Amino acid sequence: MNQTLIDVSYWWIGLLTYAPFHALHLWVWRNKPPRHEVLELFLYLFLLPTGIWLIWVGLQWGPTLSVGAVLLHWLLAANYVAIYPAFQASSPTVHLLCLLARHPQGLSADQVFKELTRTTALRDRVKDLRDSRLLVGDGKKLELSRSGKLIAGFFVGFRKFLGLGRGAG
Amino acid sequence: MSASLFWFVLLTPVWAASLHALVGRVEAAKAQPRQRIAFLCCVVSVALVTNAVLILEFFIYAGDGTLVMFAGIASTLLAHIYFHIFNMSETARRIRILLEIQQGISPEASPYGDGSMVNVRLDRLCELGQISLQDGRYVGKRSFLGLASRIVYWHERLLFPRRFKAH
Repeated sequence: MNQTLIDVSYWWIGLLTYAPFHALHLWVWRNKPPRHEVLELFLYLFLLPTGIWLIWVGLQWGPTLSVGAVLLHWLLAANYVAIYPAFQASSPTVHLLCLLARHPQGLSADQVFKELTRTTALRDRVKDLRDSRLLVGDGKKLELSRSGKLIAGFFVGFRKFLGLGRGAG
Repeated sequence: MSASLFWFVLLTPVWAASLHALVGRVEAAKAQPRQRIAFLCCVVSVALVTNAVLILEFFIYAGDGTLVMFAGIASTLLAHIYFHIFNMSETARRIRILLEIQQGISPEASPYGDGSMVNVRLDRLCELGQISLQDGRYVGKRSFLGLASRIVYWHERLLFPRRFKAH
């Protein structure tokens, strides 16, 4: 049976090529934190490696990477971008679990509240939304920007598809 | 790898979402924590995709066994992306704020404050069996989520060292 084949040989190379670009991202963030984090994340993890691959292939410096290798690199990058908000916004769940791990005797709800809101507060998330231009306006007149409406619309549709109401947050 | 099988693997998030939409409507599933249902749907989707590749590529086409590994890793990474999108819809504070503002509820007027943010997480982690409430105190348990959280926490410290110097 004739069938189209896709080259996924040496796919594991894609797992190795991701590491240096992740290290570059870490180095840049520690030394010169970017203003537009998401854009620069795409630059270092997607655009830069893809550009290098295209130049590599164009100049025929060596064997080309298979589709499988490129896909795995992109999937690792996409997974990291998916969990990046947990780093950027100081995930309360992560901090809560680490807090309880440091206090094996346990903590009361008040103690948990006091510690968690010291490191991560909701007002900071409203500021994040304004800095990312998902919200526009100021004070009591906050509105969704066009991108904010797109994102909100996506999640509303997604939750309806799953038969669920709004998440608890 | 055949193109049709390659696309079948690439569509793992679609299979996970479809299964999730079906299972989530079953009454018995509604009683379970939502993240547990989402996680199980992802696991089942990855297992189905990997086994399909195993049967088709390995047994029928006598293909390379490493293709099954590729399918397993790729579908796991794809399902993981789906799980995080669902998790964002369920737990992300910024998404909740966006949806409330869309409905005309300002952050000042919202019932969702720092207190409810913490309480929702404590209840959710208890429901998932990641922590327990003993004599009025929340106690951590050894768990995969606990280990993952420590890795995320240390990575956050690597990324944003100035954030932790203040504390």
